[in-house]
Amino acid sequence: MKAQSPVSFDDLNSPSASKIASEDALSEILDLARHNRWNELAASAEQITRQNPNDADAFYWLGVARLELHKPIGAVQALRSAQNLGMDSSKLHETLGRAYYDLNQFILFQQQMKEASRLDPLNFRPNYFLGLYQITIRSDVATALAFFDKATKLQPDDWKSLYQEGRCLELSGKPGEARAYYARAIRSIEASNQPFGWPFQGMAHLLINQDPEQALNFAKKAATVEPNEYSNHLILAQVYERLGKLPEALREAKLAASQSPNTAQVRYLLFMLYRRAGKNQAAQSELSAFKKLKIVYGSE
Amino acid sequence: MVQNRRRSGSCRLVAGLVFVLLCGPAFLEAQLGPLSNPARAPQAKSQKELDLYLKILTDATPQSVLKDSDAFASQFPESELLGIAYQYEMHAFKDMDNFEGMVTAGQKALLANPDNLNTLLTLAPAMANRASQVKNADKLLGQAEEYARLILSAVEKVKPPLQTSLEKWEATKRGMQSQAHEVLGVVAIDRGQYAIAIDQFKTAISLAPTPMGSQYFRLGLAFAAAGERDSAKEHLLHAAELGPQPVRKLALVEINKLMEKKSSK
Repeated sequence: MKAQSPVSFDDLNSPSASKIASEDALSEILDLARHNRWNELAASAEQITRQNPNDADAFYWLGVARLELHKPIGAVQALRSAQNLGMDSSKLHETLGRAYYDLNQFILFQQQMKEASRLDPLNFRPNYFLGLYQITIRSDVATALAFFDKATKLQPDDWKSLYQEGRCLELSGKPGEARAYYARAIRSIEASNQPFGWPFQGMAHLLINQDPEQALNFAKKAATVEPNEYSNHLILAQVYERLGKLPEALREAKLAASQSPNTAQVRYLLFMLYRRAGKNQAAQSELSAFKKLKIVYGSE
Repeated sequence: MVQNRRRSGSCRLVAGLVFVLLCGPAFLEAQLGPLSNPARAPQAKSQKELDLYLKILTDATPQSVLKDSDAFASQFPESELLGIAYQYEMHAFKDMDNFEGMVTAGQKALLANPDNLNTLLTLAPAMANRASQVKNADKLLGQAEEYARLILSAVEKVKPPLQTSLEKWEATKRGMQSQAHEVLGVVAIDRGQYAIAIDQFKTAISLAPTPMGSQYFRLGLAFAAAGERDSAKEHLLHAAELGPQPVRKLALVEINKLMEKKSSK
């Protein structure tokens, strides 16, 4: 899932009364989770499940670790063991839903997220993930917007939900409202000093025609806080192009292409920039690459 | 289609060499990794359905795969995941050297998804190989040819996920095309159509990301069968150079045979 963070700090409680063999073992597991040491956590939780196959909490943590290690099959199997041992918490259903999502199992994903919401109506994350599903997989902006709106009402300072709500509003042709949500997301990120660029990118995208100088500041900020995300360099290149700064636009577009060589949109921008710069051979080469990518990968 | 069919010892050797299955990207293995269009991924309708499906995917032995895929088919006969379950069953039968079981399971997988490249790439070479070992091979050769041609058309329809680099995808695609042409070459040589076989093996070699000794060996035998001894020797020598050892050994035997025939004339 895009813009998905690791387990947040408030996740670091076991979802049921501790059944893990000892307080020491539980403490160790929570400490490993707090430090994102997922390989060690998986090994530790797996060892506990071998010693005590009825320990639902150990299976839960094994599932969490496997999900973070991008092993969704093993994550589902561990989380299902926890569920079959009687665990029935909002966190379990939410984590299981995420694992189903990673396996492209969207019927089960939705069931789990709805159950997570039912068990804990104040948990905003199921709404966030359901919104992400609607916009990413179903391209249903209106339904996604409704879920993100629920999420931001439950957790007004969650920058990801705020950003996504802004994005849906922008896609719905409501730039004024979108801007307000992007601004809230930016304030939330800056308050918590988190290294994420999405809301800055969103704001730059929104302002590129209306106020390109201001858009440039946001695009630069996005590329600074998340320099390895190609789309931040793409938006920066687009803003530079809008401002007529061709060398800077080319530099950023080339950077974006090096980070995401299969993105046709980047190749097309490079084609346009080279053409404007009078570099016809390079322009043709990028146009060929663009056409080839469209044929091989289809529409993005 | 059967023309001038001669099933010489050389032809058997051509078919008998085991095809090396090129390792495809993850999306050819299952439907659970990155996909170009996740919205079209087959969906489990219940947790129990997915539990059993995942068990098949993670089973450690082919016997367990067979047991679980049988259970899956009987408990979830309408499952959208059934085609891939049969694909796993096909591989389990292959691991157990059960040709008939492999073909039956593979054909069920193809009923669910006729463009399933993983299945086509397993069945086509296996059937071409098998044809050299049975008396009435026409049906097998026909099916091997049909599947090889399906590979060539299906591979053009694949949209790889963006996570797969263009270079990797092109190498994978060429590898699959190479294998299909190799099957068509084996089918042609078994039918006595040596000129077609030569063309197909040449195409297979030109498409292979890393041409293999076995491919040059097959081409050499096709030239030998067509009576073109110099070309035959050239490609058999190339096969011997590339190896591996079993291919080298076979190639040297065939070169000796060519030399003996030449000296006896």
